[in-house]
Order: sequence, then structure tokens, then C-alpha cells
Amino acid sequence: MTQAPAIPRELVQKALEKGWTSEAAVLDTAQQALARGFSIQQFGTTLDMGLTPDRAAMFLKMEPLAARAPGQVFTEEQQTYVDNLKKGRYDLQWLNDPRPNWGLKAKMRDAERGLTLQDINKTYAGEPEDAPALRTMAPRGAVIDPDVPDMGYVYNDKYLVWSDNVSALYEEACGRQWSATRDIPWDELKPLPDDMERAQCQIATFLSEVEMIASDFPAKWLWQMNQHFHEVKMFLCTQAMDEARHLEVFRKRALANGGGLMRCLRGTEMGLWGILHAPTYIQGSFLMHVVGEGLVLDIFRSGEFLAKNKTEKEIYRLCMQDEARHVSYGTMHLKYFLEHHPERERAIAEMHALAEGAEMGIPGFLTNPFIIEPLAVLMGDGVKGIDKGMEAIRMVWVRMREEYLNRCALAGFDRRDITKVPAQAPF
Amino acid sequence: MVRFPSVQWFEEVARLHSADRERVKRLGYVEANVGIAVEDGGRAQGFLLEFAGYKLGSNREVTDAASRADFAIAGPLSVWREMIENIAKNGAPDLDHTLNRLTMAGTPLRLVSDDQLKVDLFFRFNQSFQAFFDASAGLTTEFPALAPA
Repeated sequence: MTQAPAIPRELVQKALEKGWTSEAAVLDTAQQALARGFSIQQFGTTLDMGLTPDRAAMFLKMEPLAARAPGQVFTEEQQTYVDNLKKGRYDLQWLNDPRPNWGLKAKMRDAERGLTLQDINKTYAGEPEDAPALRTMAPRGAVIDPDVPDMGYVYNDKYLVWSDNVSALYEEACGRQWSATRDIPWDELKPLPDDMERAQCQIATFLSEVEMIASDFPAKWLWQMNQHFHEVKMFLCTQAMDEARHLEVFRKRALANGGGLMRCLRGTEMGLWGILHAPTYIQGSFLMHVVGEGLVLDIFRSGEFLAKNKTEKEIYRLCMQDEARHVSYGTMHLKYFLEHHPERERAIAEMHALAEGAEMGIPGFLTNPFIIEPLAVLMGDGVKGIDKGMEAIRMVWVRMREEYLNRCALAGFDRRDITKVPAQAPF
Repeated sequence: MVRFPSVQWFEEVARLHSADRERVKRLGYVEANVGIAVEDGGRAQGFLLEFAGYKLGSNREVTDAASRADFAIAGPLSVWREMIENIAKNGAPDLDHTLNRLTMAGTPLRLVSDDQLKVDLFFRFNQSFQAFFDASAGLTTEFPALAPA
């Protein structure tokens, strides 16, 4: 007979640190779990995910499937229902549920466009409340059981996630999805001189590296947002898909024309780390949507401007559309956040403190030789024309700064007189 | 032969653009009011194009295109002419005559708006705007000098 493994001391310690109050309860629960066939590792992982004594007891109270006769898989309640079904008795409680808003007919504003989120929001359960009473996945406007579990959402206030344009942006994103495989005229790629191909590949490598942050970042926060604000979550899902496609398309570009992937830099990775590990959603959103994607939007515009063939033209144009939606959400989210924050002055002060550091990323970005020199080479039609190309970089500097400051001002977050970013390129 | 710029020219382009319904829908709908400002010496002519859904909802001549639109695309008649003739010649713009290419540096065309979020509409719907102007390839256009105001 196999002896049950001993419960490691560290596992007990972990449970106690996570709020289990009795060592005996931990040992007893762990032994029961092992007896059910679970491993010590599984028990440890479940503790990491927040297993409480109550939930463990509830689970372990259920009769193990292995102990049941074949076919006996139903709970007592389920078995009663099955027995009733056999007698032709239906429950039909759902037919008699309260229907406080029955008889709704959402109208399409534009039949050719179809039934939009804005159309249905106009009809029923439209604008979300500022702070929903529950933390559930139940759709806004539904009748909800009184004893639903708490999902543990962290973002339960509208101002923490909302922007007034988010429903429109979601619809726009769905309507403008594209395929990096099908919709790019890859057969129009033409061989480029070595320096130009290297320049394109360096930019494509950089964009392949940075774009996926805008998938990882929203994915990290999504589950923490109350589903009452489903429009925001849905929009962020489109953003995650957009950015997956951007990684794909630039990776394909780097590998499709005789070049290859080139250098990734420590500084870039540090910037991405700052976004990924931002302590709050608004901080990360500002760093990513407003600052980072604002800069990349201009890179996409420049990429379209500099494209040497229809393939690149299409890549950059399509990415530009996607990126502009993300920037637009971020700008309007910042505005909503600041306008509705219960301690507005403090929130503005905190955002200014964040922006002080974030703005250092702009000159960092625009003095990075792995970014501006490939752009200048493309603008100058080769290394020989790099001086001419740098003239265009100086123009891009001014515009990136201007557009960033314009977006901040639009959000009610004026940085124009305090930003340290030079108005002109220092070269 | 249709004169540029004119309400009739934009109407004709809209008709040609709408003809390829499948492509227009695939590119996505547009919600934006776009000003077109054409300058010729000291003279100027403006138009307001109201894109709604998959079509140009309305189009009319206005005196203040930039202030009434979400954003305006402005520039000399000669540049508009070069762009439209390039599209007509190739069926689509070559690399140097796309809307983004011509506006990117603020010259020879420029984007005009005092609201950055509205300027961003130009980027968000760019492919649709480009497809709209590309439809002018099916039109024979004339470019008389603008009439004095």
C-alpha cells in the first residue's frame, strides 16, 4: 500500500499566510485533496489562486465521482429535475421571472450598417452606472440571482475604465478588422538596396517587439474590470487582436524580402516593462495609449509616407487606422478619469508626476539611433541621403510633441507650459 | 467632363465609390465630416463632405470648411490636380500621391483642425478616405481656375 505523502511545511505556511487560520485545517484539507487524487502541487497552485477553507470544504463535501455508480453523476437537485422531466414536468420558472423591461425593440439607426452597440444602449441598459452593486459577469440589465459569487473585480467604478467614445470605437474596430495574410499585397514587395532593406527590417523588428505590449497590457487588466463595463472590455479585446496582427505583419515584413530580424534594445524593453508593470490601469493606459501609441501612430504615418512599394504602403496605412483608435480611447479615458475622479486635484497632480517621467520617453525615442536613423535612411533614399532624411526627423519631432500635448490638453490635462520635452529637435 | 472642385464632382465620385459596395463595406463605415479646402492664388473654395455609414451622406459648398468639419484637407488647386490626375492615370495613387503622403509633412496638403481627436479621424478612417478619392479614377476631371470670391 502506498503511503500518503507528507504535507510540506512550506505549503502549510503558505496557506496560513493567505488567511487560513488553523494549521490543522490546512493539513486536513490537504490530506482529503490527496485522497481524492490531487497532487501536492495542484493544492499549492489552488492556494495561490485564492482557495479559501469554505470553498475547499464545499468542494470536498461533494461525493467523489469515483465513488459513485456508473451514470450517477447528478446532484440531488439535478436528479430531482431529471425525475420530473421523465414524468413530463417542466420547471418553467424562467418563463415566470420578472421582466421589468420586456418588449424592447432596439432600432437600427442605419440598416446597412446593422445593429450597433449604440443602438441597443439607446434602447435598454444603456450607459453603465458609476458603481454597479454587484461584481458579476451577469449582463447589464439582466435579472440576477441574489446569491451569485463575487468575481473579485478590482475596477468597479466607471471613471477607472470608461471613455465616452468606447462603444463607437468597438464597433469601428470590428468593422475594420483585416488580415495580415490576405489583405496585404505581399506580391508587390520589391527587392530594395541593402541599406534600405536593413532600415525597413530594423523598423519592422522594433514594431514587432513593441506592438504586442498593447495586447499584454489590456489582457492583464481585463479580468479585473467589472463586466458591468462590458464595452470597455470588448474594446480592449479588439485592441489585443489588433496588436497581435501588428506583431504578425511586421514580423512577416522583416522576413519576406531578403532581410531579416534585427536589433532589439535594452531601453525599449525597459519602456515596455514600465507599461506592463504599471501599478494601476490609468497609469499604464496613459503610458501606453496616450504616450506610446501616440508616438507609434506617427511612426505608422511616417512608414506610409516612406513606403517603397504598395505592400508597405498598405501595412502602415492599416496599422495607422488601428493605432489611432487606441490613442483615441486612451485620450478620452484620461479625460473621463480626470473629470469624474472623486479627488480630482489629487488625481491631476498624480498624473502630472507620472507624465514628468513618461515624457522623458519622447526624447529617448527620438534620439534612439536604431529608430531615427533607419527612418532617415528611408526618407533620404539610402545612407547617402541620411542628412536630408534627418530634416524630416526634425519635422516628426515637432509633430509628435505637438500631437501629444494636444491630446493631453483635450483630456483636460494641460502639459504645454510645463513639459520638458524640447519644442525642436536638438540636432 | 466634371469640374474640380464642385459639388457635382464629389457627387460623381461618391456614386463611383458606392458602386463597389462589397469593398466599401469591407473597409468599414465612416462617421466624419470632412472639409475640403482648395486654394488658388488669393481665391479659395470649400466643401463639406458628411460621411455617414458606408456612403457620403451629403456634400455642399461652404465658405468655412475647416471650422464646420471635424478636420479639413487644405491645399493649392495645383496639388489637388496633380493628385487627381495621378489617380486617374494609374487607377490608384502612386506611392507619392496618397492622402497621408501629401498631408504628412503639412505640405503640399495640410490637415486643419483645432481638435486633435478630430484630426485623428483622418487616421482612423484613412483607408476609406483614400478609397473615396481613388474612385475618381473613373471620372474625367477638368480643373479651371477658381472663380474670384
